[in-house]
Amino acid sequence: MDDLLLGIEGEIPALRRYARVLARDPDTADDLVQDCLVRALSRTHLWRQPGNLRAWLFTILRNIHRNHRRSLARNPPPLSLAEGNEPSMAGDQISRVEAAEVLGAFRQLPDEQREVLFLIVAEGLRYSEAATLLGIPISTFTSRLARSRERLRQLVDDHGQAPRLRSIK
Amino acid sequence: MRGNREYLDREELGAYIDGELEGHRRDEVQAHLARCPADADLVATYRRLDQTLRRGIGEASGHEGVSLLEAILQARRLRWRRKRMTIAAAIMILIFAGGGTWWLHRTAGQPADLADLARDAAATYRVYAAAQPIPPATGDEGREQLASWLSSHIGTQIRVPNLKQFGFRLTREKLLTTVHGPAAQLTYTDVTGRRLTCFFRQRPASGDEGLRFVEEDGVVTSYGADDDLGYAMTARIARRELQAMAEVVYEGPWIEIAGE
Repeated sequence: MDDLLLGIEGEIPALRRYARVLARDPDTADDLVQDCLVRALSRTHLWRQPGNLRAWLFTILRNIHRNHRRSLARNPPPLSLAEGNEPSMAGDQISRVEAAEVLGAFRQLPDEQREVLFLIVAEGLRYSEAATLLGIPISTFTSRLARSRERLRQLVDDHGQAPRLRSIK
Repeated sequence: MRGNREYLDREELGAYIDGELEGHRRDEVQAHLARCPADADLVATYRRLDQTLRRGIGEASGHEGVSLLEAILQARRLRWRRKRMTIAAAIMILIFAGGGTWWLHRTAGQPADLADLARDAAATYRVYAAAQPIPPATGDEGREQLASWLSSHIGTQIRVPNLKQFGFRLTREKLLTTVHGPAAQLTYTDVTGRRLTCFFRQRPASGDEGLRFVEEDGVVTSYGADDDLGYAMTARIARRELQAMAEVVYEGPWIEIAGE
């Protein structure tokens, strides 16, 4: 039980990242994580040892989000993926520009494309785990991921022209 | 264009990047990349995008706004509330059982099977006479409506499992009467016509029970309890197969009722 608690605590950063991809607004995202923790802790008996704790917690988070969203269906969510969540001083100036570009393009992706990219690229889930989490066949998942990657590349390509030209001045 | 056979499709390249390819296929892709600068270029671009994205998203770490301790306390309160509700249910059952004894006295002196029949009739009436028409269970929305409909009749919250990934589709939902009260039975069918049922019933006891299995004449049942909800899944299939489904349904992405 204590191990599980430590494990869950260790997953909080990942949960917050996922919540921000789903909820797009930091406050709602943190509420989502908090609800997820409560539910996970009151359901620890459902956790089975050999398994991916992160995938299990993500599933819970996703279910709560879906339920929340249904009740919020009338109010469209604010359009910003965790504003103020810009990349910090990692690397030089050029890579900061690039990082901002990529994040900007990422925010423009449709929800389901953002989600698959996030699960694999940012959180390193296996395809099978992510497919189970989303409740879709693995083949559907694989092609959705490929489409999302390609879309992201195109968006960065399109947007990449302007800032680069401007930075020459 | 990339329609050329010389190029690998993007799913394959993506799977390669994500380490999803097994040894043999991975080597093939590697060999291909050595020969095909265009694909090698694409892989490099994808990798760079992945890396940038990972770093960008990774900035949102830290714990502000989220408290594990608060969650622990809240989870404890929730457990207590559920326990209190179970105690209340147990008291109701005691009162009900008292009524049952009175009923037995009234019917004393008659053949026992007739008394049973009368009780079955009354129990059936209690379940069905009050029932509203079952809502159609199509889509997530429908599943939730069905879940809350069934929940209201069996007296505890149930969830309607989604077995699509195993090839089973919900084909029939039924409210049943049992000696221990109303129960819900959901029947699933796959393309080959195999049937599987999920069975839910409120139980007087509280507390969670992990999955167990019982097998008789090739019919396998997995069963357990989530507090006051007893559940079972039955089918004439290999135990291993049923176990995989039961674990996903009960321990994986369950379908919750909105507003719980």
